[in-house]
Amino acid sequence: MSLQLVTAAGIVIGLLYLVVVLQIFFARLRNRIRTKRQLGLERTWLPILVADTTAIPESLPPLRQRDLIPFLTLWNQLQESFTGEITGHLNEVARRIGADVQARRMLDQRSLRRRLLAVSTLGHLGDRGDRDSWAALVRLTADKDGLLSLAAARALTRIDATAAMPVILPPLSERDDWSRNYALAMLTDLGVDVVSRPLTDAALHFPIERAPRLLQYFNVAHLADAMPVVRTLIARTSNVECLAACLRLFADVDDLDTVRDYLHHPSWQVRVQAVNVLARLGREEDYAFLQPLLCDSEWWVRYRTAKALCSLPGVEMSRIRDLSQKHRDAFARDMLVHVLAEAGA
Amino acid sequence: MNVVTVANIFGWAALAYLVGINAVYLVLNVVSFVVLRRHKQRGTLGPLSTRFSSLEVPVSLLIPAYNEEHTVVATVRSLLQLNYSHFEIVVINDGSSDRTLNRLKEAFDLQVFPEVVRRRLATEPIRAVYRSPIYPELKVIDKHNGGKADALNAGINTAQYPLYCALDADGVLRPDSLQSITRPFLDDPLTVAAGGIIRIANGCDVVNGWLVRTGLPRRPLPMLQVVEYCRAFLFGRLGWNPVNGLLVISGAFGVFHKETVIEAGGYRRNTIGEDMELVVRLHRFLGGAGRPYRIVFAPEPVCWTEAPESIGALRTQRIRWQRGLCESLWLNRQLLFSRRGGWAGWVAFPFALLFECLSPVVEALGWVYFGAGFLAGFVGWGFALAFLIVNIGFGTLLSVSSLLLDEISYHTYPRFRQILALLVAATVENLGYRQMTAYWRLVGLVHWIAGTKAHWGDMKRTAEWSSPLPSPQASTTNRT
Repeated sequence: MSLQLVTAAGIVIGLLYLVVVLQIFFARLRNRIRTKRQLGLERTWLPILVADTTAIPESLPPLRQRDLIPFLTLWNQLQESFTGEITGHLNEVARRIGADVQARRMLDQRSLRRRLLAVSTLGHLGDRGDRDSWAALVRLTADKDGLLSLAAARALTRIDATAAMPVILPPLSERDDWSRNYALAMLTDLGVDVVSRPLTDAALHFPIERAPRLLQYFNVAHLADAMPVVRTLIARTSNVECLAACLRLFADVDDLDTVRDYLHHPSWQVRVQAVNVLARLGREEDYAFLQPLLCDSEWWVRYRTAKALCSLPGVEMSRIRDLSQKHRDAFARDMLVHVLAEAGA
Repeated sequence: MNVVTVANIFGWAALAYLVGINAVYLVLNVVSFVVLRRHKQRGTLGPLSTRFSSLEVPVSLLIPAYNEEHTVVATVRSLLQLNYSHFEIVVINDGSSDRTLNRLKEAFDLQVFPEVVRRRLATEPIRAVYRSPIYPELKVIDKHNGGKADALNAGINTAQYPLYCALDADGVLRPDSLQSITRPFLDDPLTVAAGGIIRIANGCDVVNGWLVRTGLPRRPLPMLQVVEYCRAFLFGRLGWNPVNGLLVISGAFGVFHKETVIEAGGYRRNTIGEDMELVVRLHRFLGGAGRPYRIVFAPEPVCWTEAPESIGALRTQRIRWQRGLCESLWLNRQLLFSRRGGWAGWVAFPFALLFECLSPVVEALGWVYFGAGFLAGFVGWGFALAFLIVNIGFGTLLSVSSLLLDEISYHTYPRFRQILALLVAATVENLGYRQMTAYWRLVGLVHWIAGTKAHWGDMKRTAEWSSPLPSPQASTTNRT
């Protein structure tokens, strides 16, 4: 093997090693400069951004291009932290320094960070007259990146919640990659009045297999809107996931007869949800309905049944204790002893 | 064909192999840079996800403990203070012969509880289940010794939440570790397992089971392992994330979807690398069934653990790891090039087999060939130098690039002196240490082939980095 070639390869690797080492020091230096710059930015802008709403100075300091991303990050963080008048004040400052124009430009850039910031900024600015941005944000709700599409949906809801609902409900019921956490935060921020009717209508009219995904947001709906839909869906479907999701939502004693019908459903996921409803809403007479489920083949059903029995109104602990000693089934006895110990009884 | 020709062919093959392995690592390195960058970008709007903590998926923390009397109480105390809305702690005393159970009983006032255990996975018999009246979220299972996998299976049987987190009894977490590691499950419902970055706790300041200052170990052996862990986690695992090809989630800290693990059969009891075996099996099981799934590596430093400080303990650990690797691959060999194997079966598995399982053989034979050949005169200067450059030069380059990854992403070691020390360690690591561990891995491979009985060895946890524990009384009164 040629010694010159090997030596050259060695030199290349040695140089790469040096480059990486220098990069480490450079990264450290850059980190330090960035921290210093961030502190400077906060010193300049925080007093303006969080000042009294009437006190925006006539002339604002210029926003340098290199400060745009840190500024928008800070601005969005403040928007997420505050509610009320101050958000209008933040918007006014952003418009005066041209951050809205910059955000619109950033929507089409490649960097995910820039696009996320742009989407969030436009959402907070909430300019209903800006139809171009609205159209761009609608397009982004279909982006293949789940986080970006969800951020775009959130921005739309901030700009015009009522107009946004028909746009966001189809992906909300379809997309696997939309985090339930983010989506629920978004719907909760919109408020029950805005969400309730479109959400419940969508659950009723979209294909039934999409319903369970929407049902998980029904606690952001009025009971008066939600319950008729839940009752219709439970009567219409045999899908286990959908049945369990519907049962989870029952909150009215008038539905107890329906719930009791599901105590012996072939799927334990459905049975356990029916038992949970009885634990919340059940009456003394449910003791008789629940007792056979102490012998259920599924541990969770036995466990929840024992807990439900303990929580029924008018059922004394001494009765449960007595049952735990006399029940003919060893699994039922063990579970009752377990639950009684948990209850400290 | 004479002996010299055969030797030359071997020399070229060994050189090509080493170039290949380092080239793949370089690719993984570049991928990790991209993944880390994207991960940081995705955190731009991060705070939103923490606003609704009631949506966090409840987690059962499973801590198998075998003779962990020095560390287990501090670990449990720190876990009790995790920032997480809904979790339970299940300590599984796996037939310890020391005072592990008594220490727990004394510290948390444990009482026998008439728990009905679901025996969904077979385990050694459970002697008793204890609960604490002071900490309702704490449960201790006392069972006959059956090994770590058996203890974890017993923990799974008693776990009541949909996710479980397997954690070593000496693991040191951050208050937000559980939030970080469970985020992939919230963000993507297809996630069935997630692992995070494990760091070396030696040299750090740990008070009451919490890491209060990141430091570097003073002793050389754990110091070299700091660099090694950076390399293993920052690109060895992160690089596989985008293609769902991660084959290992460290047993020290990993979160799993309980029902999926039970469906796959739980931890295999007769293996020594139960953590890797489970992950490879999950790929085989879920991929084979055509079910969509994600096994992810959360690029957050989430857990600190004590590294062996003696040569003997390190040797035992590395032999065990190599055996675990070989066993995991062999037991799941159907995954290799299987029709539905995806990247795990078509790329990650062959990579692990070719480059991680067999590399100690090639490396050891390479040293013998090039060393002996050079002295005997049939290996020239150029060839010998090429071997050194590929083996040591490339290795050092990869080690320092893992430090760069850490620097640009987490900045774990903030002092200037620390980065200098790490740079020295990254260089020195390749001048003897890696060759030593390669030899132990070779021994592990030979043991596995020979079927020698595997054992865990006796790594004494010193927990020197941990401050003395406060009295149980003092700590109890802090609890509201």
